[in-house]
Amino acid sequence: MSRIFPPTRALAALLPTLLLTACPVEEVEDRAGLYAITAAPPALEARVNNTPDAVPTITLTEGAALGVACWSTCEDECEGASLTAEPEDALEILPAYATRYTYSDNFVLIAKKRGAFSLRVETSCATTLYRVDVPAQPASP
Amino acid sequence: MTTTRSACLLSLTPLLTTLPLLGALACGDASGGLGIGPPTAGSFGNTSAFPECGAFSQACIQGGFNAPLAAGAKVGVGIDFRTGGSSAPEITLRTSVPDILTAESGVLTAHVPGASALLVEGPDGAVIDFIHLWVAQPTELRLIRYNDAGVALGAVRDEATLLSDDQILIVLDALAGNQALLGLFKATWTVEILEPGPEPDAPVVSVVEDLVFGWYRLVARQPGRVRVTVEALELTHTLELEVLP
Repeated sequence: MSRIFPPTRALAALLPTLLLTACPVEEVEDRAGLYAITAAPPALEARVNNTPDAVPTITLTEGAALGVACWSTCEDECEGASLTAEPEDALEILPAYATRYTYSDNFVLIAKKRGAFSLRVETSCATTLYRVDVPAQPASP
Repeated sequence: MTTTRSACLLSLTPLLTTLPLLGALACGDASGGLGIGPPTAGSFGNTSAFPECGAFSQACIQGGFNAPLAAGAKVGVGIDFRTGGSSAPEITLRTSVPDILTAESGVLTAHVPGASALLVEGPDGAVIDFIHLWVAQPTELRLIRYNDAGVALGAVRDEATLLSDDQILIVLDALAGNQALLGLFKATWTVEILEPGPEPDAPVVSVVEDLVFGWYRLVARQPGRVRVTVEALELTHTLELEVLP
């Protein structure tokens, strides 16, 4: 039968605490954003780019529609999230009933005019500003 | 002698507006069960949309919405729901680019070439589903001959011979390049007599609009020779027919 000396036992009890205090505490900034839940039709563009360390971008051909879902690090996820186009007439923003994504707030974006605009995504803990590029439809062959 | 017959397909628009409600029953009755094209799934997978062809249009029957709509044409659209746990709610159809495509009372009208989303909206304004539809400018009219059983026999030649009392069932298709387009459209037929028959005042060939939307019958009345011209969608197609005794 083995015996553990009292000092060793005390050290073992303290070990988790010592390990935790040795780790630096890093504050993570809350984030929010969108991701695409529908595909682009042929010859048109409809995509969301959330590449880290780059300006988040949505590319949507004039007249095309794109289904998007909201994500965030907030405790309430995307409950009550709001999307605002700047200017407002650049994009039509509609609520979506997408049964495959019921865990998230879903929207349909429609590009109403060509140009470069922005889309503000606001959740309870974070706000993200997307750059929205709206190219023209391809010319008929 | 010139005979002009205007076949206005748009006069059947009230019928088309009811088709989304009547669904397969109405279309089946209208065209022997072949009036509906196969469905195209919506982006969310909640619904499928299908064109209500109303005629033996090759593009419509064979491919559903797998072809662009012809600019200037109309087509009824039906929505098939695939949402578990609920019947279909009352829906509204509208398009993202009304300059290109409009939806009114279940009928799509194609205006100019381009793409537009067709949105299926529920009573609360939420988008239940959507599909993108294309509109193309037709570049060619083509006459397709069918037998009485509704089987496509092939394109009608520009010069052909009929026998007196022949009745040929045809459909007028619009194409862009070699791609058959969707849609029903107004067509105007003109029959010019090149060689009159034994009865000079009687027609050699008549073009009769069928009871079914988009169908026509070429009827050979008496021996002679005619030039048949059809105008639609800013295009013209001509064929010369000789009727033998």
